Amino acid sequence: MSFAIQPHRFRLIPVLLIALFASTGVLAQGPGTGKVTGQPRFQFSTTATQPIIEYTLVHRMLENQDPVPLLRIYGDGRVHTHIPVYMKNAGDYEYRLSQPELKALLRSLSQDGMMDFDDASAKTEKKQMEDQERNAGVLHAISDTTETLIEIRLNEYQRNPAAGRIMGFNKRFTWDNLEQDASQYPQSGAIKSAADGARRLHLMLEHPGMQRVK
Amino acid sequence: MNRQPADSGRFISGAGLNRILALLLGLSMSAQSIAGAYIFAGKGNGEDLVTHPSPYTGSAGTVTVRVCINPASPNAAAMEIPIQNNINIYNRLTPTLGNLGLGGNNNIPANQVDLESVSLHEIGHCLGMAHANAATESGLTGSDQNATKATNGVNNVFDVNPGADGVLGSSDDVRGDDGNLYWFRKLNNNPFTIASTVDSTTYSRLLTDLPAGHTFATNADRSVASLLGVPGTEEVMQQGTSLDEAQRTLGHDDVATLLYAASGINERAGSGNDDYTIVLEYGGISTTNCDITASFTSTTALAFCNVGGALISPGHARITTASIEFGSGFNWFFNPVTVNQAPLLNAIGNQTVTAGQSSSVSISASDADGDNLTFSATGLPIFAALTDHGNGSATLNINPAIGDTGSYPVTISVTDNGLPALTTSENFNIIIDPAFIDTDGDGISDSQEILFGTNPNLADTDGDGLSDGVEIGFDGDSSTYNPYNAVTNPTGTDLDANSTDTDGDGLNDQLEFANTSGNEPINPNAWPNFADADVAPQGNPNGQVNAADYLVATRIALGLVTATPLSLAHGDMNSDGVIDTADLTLILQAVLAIP
Repeated sequence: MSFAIQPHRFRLIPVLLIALFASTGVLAQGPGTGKVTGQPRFQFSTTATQPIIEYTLVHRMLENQDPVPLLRIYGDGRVHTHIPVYMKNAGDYEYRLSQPELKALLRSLSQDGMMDFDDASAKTEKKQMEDQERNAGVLHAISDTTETLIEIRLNEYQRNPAAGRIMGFNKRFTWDNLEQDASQYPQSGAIKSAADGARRLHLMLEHPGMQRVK
Repeated sequence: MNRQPADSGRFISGAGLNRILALLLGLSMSAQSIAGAYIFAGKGNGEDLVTHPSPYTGSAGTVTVRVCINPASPNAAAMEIPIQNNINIYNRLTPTLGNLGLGGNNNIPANQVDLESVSLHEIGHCLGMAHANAATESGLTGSDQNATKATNGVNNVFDVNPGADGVLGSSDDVRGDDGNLYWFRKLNNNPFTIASTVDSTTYSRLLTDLPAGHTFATNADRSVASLLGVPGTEEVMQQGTSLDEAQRTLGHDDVATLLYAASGINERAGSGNDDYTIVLEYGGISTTNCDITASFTSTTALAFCNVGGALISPGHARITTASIEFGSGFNWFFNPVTVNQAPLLNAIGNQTVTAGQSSSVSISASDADGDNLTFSATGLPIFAALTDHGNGSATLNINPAIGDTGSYPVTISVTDNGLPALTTSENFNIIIDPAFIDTDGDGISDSQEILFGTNPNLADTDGDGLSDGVEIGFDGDSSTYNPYNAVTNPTGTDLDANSTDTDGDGLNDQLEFANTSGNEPINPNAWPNFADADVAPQGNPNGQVNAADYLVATRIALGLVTATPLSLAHGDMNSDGVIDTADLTLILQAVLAIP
């Protein structure tokens, strides 16, 4: 599995985004409103100051790391992307998601399993799979690390009506070589869910409505 | 991923052997096989695990690693020179100092990442090498990653202390129980030097083999390089590249790490039957028989080598699969300049050979890169052959028959085995002269005489007493003929072999030639000065001096007869250019035999 920022594909993105957000086949719920059986519920700040989603990549092979997150999505629907100077189309861009689009995105991430991703247990699972390989005499390595950082901050998250409500939900994890691990260990649902969610966020960098702001 | 087949046989299959080796090599270890000095070394697989390139299976010989560019990759063509440069550099196995080119010291635009530098690093991983420093796989952050490659020891914590010099990765680092993974030179623990023989007698991973006073293995980080007096130097396998940074040649420990592995399973160079020589081969933009394949993909990573491996003996593994991916989303710089230098072909020049005779022409060339050279020729006539001695020299043998007269344009080329292969050529002519047959023995070949218009059967065509060879070769060159003629060719430089008096001064060519040392024979105004008083008969001196000579001289002196050059040659007794009364006196003395 692989994906990258490829602005030249902007024109292909609108349909893709709609598909991504609507892939669960339902509309997202508003903050704290109603309930639909089996559907996740969210409440989040709609202010423009605090991102509810952050996504970035750290390329360890590069000495000149740009620490600014690649993607920041705010509760008011503003999406800010920061493309570092060492990448194509470097600069800062913005566009705005409607509230239904933002909620659909959160629902999709929830459906991916991102909200429930337990990186500690996933790393334990990965180590077990590595041990199995090693015991079979199979060695494997990825030479240079790309670290994925994802953080989601919600006031409240309920995976489904039967699940408990999590107040002050904050999902933050980092993973080295996420896309490579998802390819190497396809049997791991947890790693796949994280990789799918990361991929979904990475595609946000290519939104056709991006306007350069810096 | 390269999975081994199930071991279903009665005997120990390859997979079964791997399992046994795996058990021997640390089944109880649970940590991931993070990269070490060799890429699979670590807690999980063993700290001593040396990794070899993919074709190596434990037997001595040449290990050829074929590096390809994926035809489906974007930028495939642009990758060719950088990848070929990498292959050249690995094949040279030459350690370099000052291999960091930053800012204005490279051809990389600002904010671009040099593909050639990064691919040199990634190919190193694909050959089995790991980072020299702790790098990111350690989980350390910031400058702590510059510490020497190690495991985190029994306490599962990297103990990183730079020691008194304040430089991480240097010889006084205090690393607690961290397990060193970096093979250092026992003599000096200096990664910017290399032993003449690299094996377990000269390199070690054990801290007990460090020089006195050293506390940990030194790695070839650029800060350590400055500390040790070789600034601007860093091992290629040190993780990390900056924008606008070129690092296109190997460091000492890059070379040492490859050579240590090449000392074989017994880790002793020249011992046993397990040493190998590593050679990288460019497979082109192809998928055929590739050991390493490089591609640009949509990966979010900058670059990585995805390596699979298998154990081949306790403490030794080999690469089984290796592929490099470069992220398409980055600003890459593709170096357009090849590092290979064209061979230098020493000048050959036109080769003239006489038909029926033989000639051997020595040809030589040199190559600044030390590449192997191959000679070739185009346009060679059937009577010529080129022999390549395989050592930078060749011989062109030319054996023309009588009928092969003519000029043959030929091209000799020398080609190196660098990447890309470069050729230097020289165009010249093989000139076959007619056979040298000289029937009359006058020194001029018959064919030339025919060409010059003299008689090939008569040594002195004009009968003036000078052979044709002397007349045609009057100017010192008998291969050309340029006869003087006062009217038609006043700049001629040879005597006319068809005239007894080339310059028309009345003096026989032989007479002038025999009695002068300059150009008098082709100068109507210059002649020998005999001053012997023999002027009679006028125009035909008879060899006697008597009253007739005095009479003729008197007539000349009185202006009754015009003096000829011949008369002057004999009668100008005082060499003043005329015959006058002063000469008459002297002539009279000669007639009267008055001393």
